[in-house]
Amino acid sequence: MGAPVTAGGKTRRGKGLSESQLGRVLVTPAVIVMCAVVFFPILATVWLSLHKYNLKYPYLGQPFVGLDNYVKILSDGRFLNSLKVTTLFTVSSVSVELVLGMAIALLLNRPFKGRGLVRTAVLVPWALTTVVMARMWAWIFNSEYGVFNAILYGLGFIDQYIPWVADTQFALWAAMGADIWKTTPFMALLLSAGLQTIPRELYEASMVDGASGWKQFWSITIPILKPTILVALLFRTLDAARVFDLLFVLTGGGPGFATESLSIYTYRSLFVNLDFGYGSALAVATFLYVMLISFIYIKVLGARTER
Amino acid sequence: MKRFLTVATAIALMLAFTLAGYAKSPVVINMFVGKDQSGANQELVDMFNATHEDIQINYQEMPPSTTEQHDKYVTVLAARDSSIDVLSSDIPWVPEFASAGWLLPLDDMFTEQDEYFAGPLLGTTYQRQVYAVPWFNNAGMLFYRKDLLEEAGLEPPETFDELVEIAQKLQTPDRYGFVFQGMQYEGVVCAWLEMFWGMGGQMLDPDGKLIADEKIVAESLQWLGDLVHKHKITPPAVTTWKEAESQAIFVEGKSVFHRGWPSVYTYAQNPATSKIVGKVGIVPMVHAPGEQSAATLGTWNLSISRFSKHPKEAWEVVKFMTSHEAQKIKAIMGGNPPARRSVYTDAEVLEMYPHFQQFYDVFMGALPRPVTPAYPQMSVEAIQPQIAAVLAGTKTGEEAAPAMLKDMQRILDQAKQ
Repeated sequence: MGAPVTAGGKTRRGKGLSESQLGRVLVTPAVIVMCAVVFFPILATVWLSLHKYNLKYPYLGQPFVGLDNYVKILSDGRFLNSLKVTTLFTVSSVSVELVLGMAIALLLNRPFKGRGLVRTAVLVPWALTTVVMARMWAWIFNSEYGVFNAILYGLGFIDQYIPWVADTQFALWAAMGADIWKTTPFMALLLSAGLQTIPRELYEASMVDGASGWKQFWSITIPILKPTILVALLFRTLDAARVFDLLFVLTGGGPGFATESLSIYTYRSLFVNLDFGYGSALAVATFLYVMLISFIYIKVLGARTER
Repeated sequence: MKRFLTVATAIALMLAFTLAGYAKSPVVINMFVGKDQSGANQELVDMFNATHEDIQINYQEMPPSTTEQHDKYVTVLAARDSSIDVLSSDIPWVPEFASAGWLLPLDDMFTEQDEYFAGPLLGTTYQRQVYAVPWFNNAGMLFYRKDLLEEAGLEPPETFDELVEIAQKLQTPDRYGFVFQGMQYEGVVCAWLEMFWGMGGQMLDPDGKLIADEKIVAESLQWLGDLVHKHKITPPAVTTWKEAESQAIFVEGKSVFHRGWPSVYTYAQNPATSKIVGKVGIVPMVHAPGEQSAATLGTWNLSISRFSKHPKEAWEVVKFMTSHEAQKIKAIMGGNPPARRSVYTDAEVLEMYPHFQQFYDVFMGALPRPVTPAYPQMSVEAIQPQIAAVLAGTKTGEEAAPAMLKDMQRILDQAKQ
């Protein structure tokens, strides 16, 4: 599009805005909103993390302490524990979700009677609010009346009811079980969307060449699906690494620190200890941890996809 | 001109009515209290609202979990929001919220302190100012099976060793010796402190300095661990129990002794929930020879937010809620042991709850948890992990004690410049 032309045929370049100027003007409100709701809080948290600031001790003021809080984090056993919990939770649940999600996606990709219905039914766990489903699993795992205990007991796997979410050994695994139940459908949904983009002819051609189903899966499905897998893994990993609501409702981070994820420790540092300086440093550390994971994914998986 | 006058009159009238409306509309006091299953709070609120035209209580129930209540209060108070006028505060929150500057000092209004027990007042006073009025008392005590002890011709225990001995004697394959709350959470700290104090231990001096004797810390921790691993009167599953679990075991008749809060008695005497109705005795927690029984206070108090826009009216609510009459209603309807001493001599209350006489003795020796704003963090990061380790048998008391004290000191030091 050229510059606006007036009735007289002369351009009005001098008076009006150039196209790029207009663009900048139009984008300004969005930029301001983004700054106010995204960048400002992040920068404020970083700034706060460089201070000693505890609501319980207002008389200490808010002195600048440089990187002191970060130095403290590195030797904080509770932080290292939450890092371990978060990593274990993320790696275990996301890998199981990927495998199960893939299996379900492949299944749903085959034509069969009632596929639409099954597809919808599979999505139900994903549609539930996390807090509601966490409460539901808390009942399922209940040590006295839980159906999980009843089933295992009935089948003879256990000889007495186990308080799954109150036992240090089992609590994190119970939480992973609930998370897998809830988010496998999400994996399945993304992957089956990806599967539908693979042209049927490829399979037909390979079949003519005598490729087995297994060979087809590894040589056709996986390579073509790789970008989709990357996106699905990235989404799920980032979500799992920031896990809060599920654990908060199901176990409260307990027993002890057995299921205290980075987000829960950050929350406790802010709201129980009222330590806003240190809590902000923890929030920034969580942020960096999540950034690191994204970076690794994009480097490792992303690079291969481009080749 | 005539039209102008009409309009002016109309406006003036509207204004007058509106103002009159304002003058008549009562001050609303938002009162936030943890979930109350007894219905006593609602009864009190209705009574207050029926008798006060100028003040009306907007009664709001908080989640039953103490931690969730705490975090909600923090969110509102840290924002200096005025939507809370009166709040119920667990005893450890008082120094915490007071230090943060969120509570109104009540010294000028709360003049009846002599009417209350000494322990709760210690816990509601921070740096010589009082920030809360005790509402109902809670303290740990030892429940025992009167029938079993009588049958065996035994007196209730007074010392640690006697408790172990009787428990070993009376436990059976279907009946534990002694149950308590052993999960890694606030409750286990309350139980442990009773052992620590009962051995003569002291945590902080009046200036808030850590003065705990490492040897007593180690011995009291070891005693708890020994219950599970040496004396075997408590099952290892104790590390998964909070109040609901340990209490359920006791009222099912599956334990000789139970360390619990006063409400256990109400459950134990209710035929719908209990198999041991009429078979329950209460004594103060056992202690070392030559020392005194101690009880950890869990008193609930009423405080006024410093950000309340109606502190005067809020005080009227607190005054009403903590009056002799109100505490009596809470006692009768909810079984909540009153904070006012006078209610313990009230014939109507005693007739219904003769055991309040024993509660009275427990409360006279009850102590608040360390009165410092650092306490919640101390409990979670320093005390709970060490008790858990000893109960699980992964550490001895001697190994756990120095670690606990070191962490406590680190957390206390954060309050310093």
